[in-house]
Amino acid sequence: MKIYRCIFLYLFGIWGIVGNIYGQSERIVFTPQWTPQSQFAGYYVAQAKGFYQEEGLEVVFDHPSASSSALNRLEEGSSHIIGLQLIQAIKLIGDGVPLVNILQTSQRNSLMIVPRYNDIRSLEDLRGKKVGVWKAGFCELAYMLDRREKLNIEWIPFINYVNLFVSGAIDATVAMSFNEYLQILACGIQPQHVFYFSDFGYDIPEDGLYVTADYYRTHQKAVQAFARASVKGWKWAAQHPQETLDIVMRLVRKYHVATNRLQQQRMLENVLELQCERHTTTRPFRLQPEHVEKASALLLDDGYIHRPVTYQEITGAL
Amino acid sequence: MKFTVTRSFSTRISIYILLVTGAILCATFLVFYRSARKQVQIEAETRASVSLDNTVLRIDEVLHSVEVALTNNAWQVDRYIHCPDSMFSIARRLLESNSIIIGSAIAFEPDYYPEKGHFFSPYAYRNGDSIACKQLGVESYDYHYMDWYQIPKLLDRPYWSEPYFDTGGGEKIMTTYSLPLHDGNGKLYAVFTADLSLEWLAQKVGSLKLYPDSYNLVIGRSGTYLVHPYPERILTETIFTATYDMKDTTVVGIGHRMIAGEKGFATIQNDSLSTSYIFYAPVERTGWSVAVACTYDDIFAGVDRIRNRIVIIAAAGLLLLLVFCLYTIRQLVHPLTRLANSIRNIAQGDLMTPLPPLGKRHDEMGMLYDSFGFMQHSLSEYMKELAATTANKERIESELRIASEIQMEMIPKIFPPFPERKDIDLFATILPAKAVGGDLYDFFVENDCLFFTVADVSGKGIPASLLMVVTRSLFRTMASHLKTPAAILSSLNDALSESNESGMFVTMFLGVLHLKTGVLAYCNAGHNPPVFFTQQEQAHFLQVTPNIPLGLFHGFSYTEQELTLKADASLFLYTDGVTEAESPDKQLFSEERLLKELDRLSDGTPTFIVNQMMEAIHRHAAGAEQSDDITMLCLHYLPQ
Repeated sequence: MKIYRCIFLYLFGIWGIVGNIYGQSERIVFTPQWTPQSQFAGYYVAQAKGFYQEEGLEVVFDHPSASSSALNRLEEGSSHIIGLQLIQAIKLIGDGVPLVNILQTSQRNSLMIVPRYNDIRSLEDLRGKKVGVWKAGFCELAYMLDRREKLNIEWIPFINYVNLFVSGAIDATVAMSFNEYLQILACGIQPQHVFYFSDFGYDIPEDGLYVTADYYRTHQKAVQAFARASVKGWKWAAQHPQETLDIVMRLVRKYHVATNRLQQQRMLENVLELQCERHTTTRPFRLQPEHVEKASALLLDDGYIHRPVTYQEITGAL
Repeated sequence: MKFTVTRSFSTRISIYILLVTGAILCATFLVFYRSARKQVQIEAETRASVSLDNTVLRIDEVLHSVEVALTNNAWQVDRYIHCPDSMFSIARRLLESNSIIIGSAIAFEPDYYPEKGHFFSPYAYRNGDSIACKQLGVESYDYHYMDWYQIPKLLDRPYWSEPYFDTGGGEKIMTTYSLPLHDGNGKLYAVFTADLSLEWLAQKVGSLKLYPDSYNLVIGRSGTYLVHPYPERILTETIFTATYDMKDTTVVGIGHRMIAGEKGFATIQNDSLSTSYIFYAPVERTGWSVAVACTYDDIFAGVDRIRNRIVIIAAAGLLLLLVFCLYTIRQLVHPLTRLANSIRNIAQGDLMTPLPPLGKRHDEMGMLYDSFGFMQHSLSEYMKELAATTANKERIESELRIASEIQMEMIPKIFPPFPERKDIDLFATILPAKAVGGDLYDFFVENDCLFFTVADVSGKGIPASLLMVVTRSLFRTMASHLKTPAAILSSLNDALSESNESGMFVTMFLGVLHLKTGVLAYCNAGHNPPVFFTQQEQAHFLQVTPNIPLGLFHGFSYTEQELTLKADASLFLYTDGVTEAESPDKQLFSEERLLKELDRLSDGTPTFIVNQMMEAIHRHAAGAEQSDDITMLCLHYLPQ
């Protein structure tokens, strides 16, 4: 009888623990910046390999659309965690939208201008030209450069830039080195001159994860757990690129994204490289105070914000 | 391991024949094969070019019909511009009259109709068998930034959009033709579009089936696959995608040429690593490019089948030829082996070894066989003759040896000949060129007179030796009766010429020296004059009347001469075998040399002089064959 009682108590205990875990699992809706691609591979890996689950999180991926950006989702409250670029986040905070950075993956800037034809050899040659920019945003640095250099560029907002670029309807386009630029190369176009924003004093890191300050206050452990699991996901992705690509391609097919494995492989390699600080191979996965300071100063100088945004503020330390 | 096959004559010949035949076959085959492939390639290019042109034409017809339909209906938009809702009807009518168009929008610029809001884009589309209409533009679908609107607006010209996957309901690949519409001021106010499903494109391109394994491609302006045998690549990959890591830039080059709207063909290594031809031609209206890839295996399948058959037939033929050659040549040369064995026996002395049976053959082998048979017979006969001849020769040689001994016994050979006399010293020698010779010397003393002679019978050998014997006998006989040299020689001449039918003759020098007085009576019958010398006086030829040789003219009267020898005088008699002794380079010993040698030897004894002279002659001959008998006689007069 004693033995039966022990077994019963043991099973009851396990049920209780499991039930407790499930009972406490936090549901988090996460919206990356764009449709599924290797840019978000670490998060897909964390989900697929159960890293979020291990942290007691139930994560739902809700990708944005052309009409509903990640920020819209956050403001509506339909998403809890979103991906944003640092410059956007500081601009929003400066505009009075309280956001907290919970994970900074990118350590370098990937923004570039790619001319359609090789007769554009310098920034000066872009004067008065039609240059494509994302309609969804991400272009503050481009506008800053335009104003600083007084190029008077005619910015053409786009949703899908490839055909616009290939058809010659625009003279150049703003591109991410890990995404649009690779697609341009895949179209058989080999630009002889490209302009990296990092070469013009705009080496501001990009992708990071953000929550509202309120959500951060109330769900601090959950977002920290999310960040931990995401870092684990990214590290696993760096060590297992082929399996990571398998996971990414499953999602790509599910969402009918017009891309291919090779393209995604290049993107993953590039994104992982951008996660390292310049001239290093280490991935700190955290925001650097000097980057915040620099981005804030740039936005302040250009009039995007009217007060500086501090490292403490953006990391929720205040 | 030593390779011994080639040691066989038949195998070697067979291999040579095979190699030469094989080389000729190969060369012929290669010329044929290259020509055939070239011809097939030309035909394939022509066929592909024509087929591609037809396909492009059919595609162009469809695209053109859409362009015409849209252009023909554009005026209605302008006419009913004041009535926005009529735009739905215009779009609907376009679909009703053009079954290939599956949707049409008249998309206006933002806020064109203030009452309609920011977006106004009447859109008609096929919903099953019916045509439905709706307003396309909403906040969540800002058509002003769609390719089909934005690009023709920016380019300000009609535009075929790059094909895209329609997720709005059709779930199919579509392309849109956009026609910008301008108002009276030339300002764009709307874009009129027609949507086209690309299912027909795949069908039309798919109908282009040049070869069983050929496949077709269509790429868009950006190199994106619109039609591809692997559906997963359509709209997700470009022709350049797979070339990222390729060192070979052929495909990249083809891609660029296709995008540039060029027409042509190239050779590539495709995914399966088989070599393929890729023929491509542009659809200029849309900027697409249609390509058909055909593997070499496919194109040259017919030629390769013939090639394989020829190779198999040729290989079998060569094998058959090898077997045939081996068999035939072995059959032909087999008797040679047996013949060789028999010949070896014959060569070892068994001349009676029978040759192997060959049968009746009239070819070279038969001739060889007959020749060997004849040779064997001849050899056998020859050996018999040789045996007889050898026996005969041995007998003759034996007889000659005896004759030589008899001949030599006839002439005095004991020196000094007159040991009791101190007033004369004499030495003579004879060296016949053959077993028996025709030379003669003789001497004897009778009544204080020394008779001495040297003679040379014309010719050599046995006839000469016989005549020499006769001459010597006659000389001895006559010398004992007739005391003067002239009488002796005249008698001798008469005796010899009497029955000299063979025309032989004898030259002779005969001297009679009265030993007490030193008076030398001598007579010469055509012989070489003797040499006279003393220790003080140089050697010189004795003045002699030549007369004629003995045995030529009966009754010839010989002239005699006389000379008184002083003390210490020497006479050297010889035959022409001395002065005409030849060196290897045909130089004669000569009379001058004779005199010179005698001057050198003048203080020697006759024995010494003759032996030294003989040595000088031998040195001069230096091993050359002796052509004539050599006879020397030297006397030294030493009166007391």
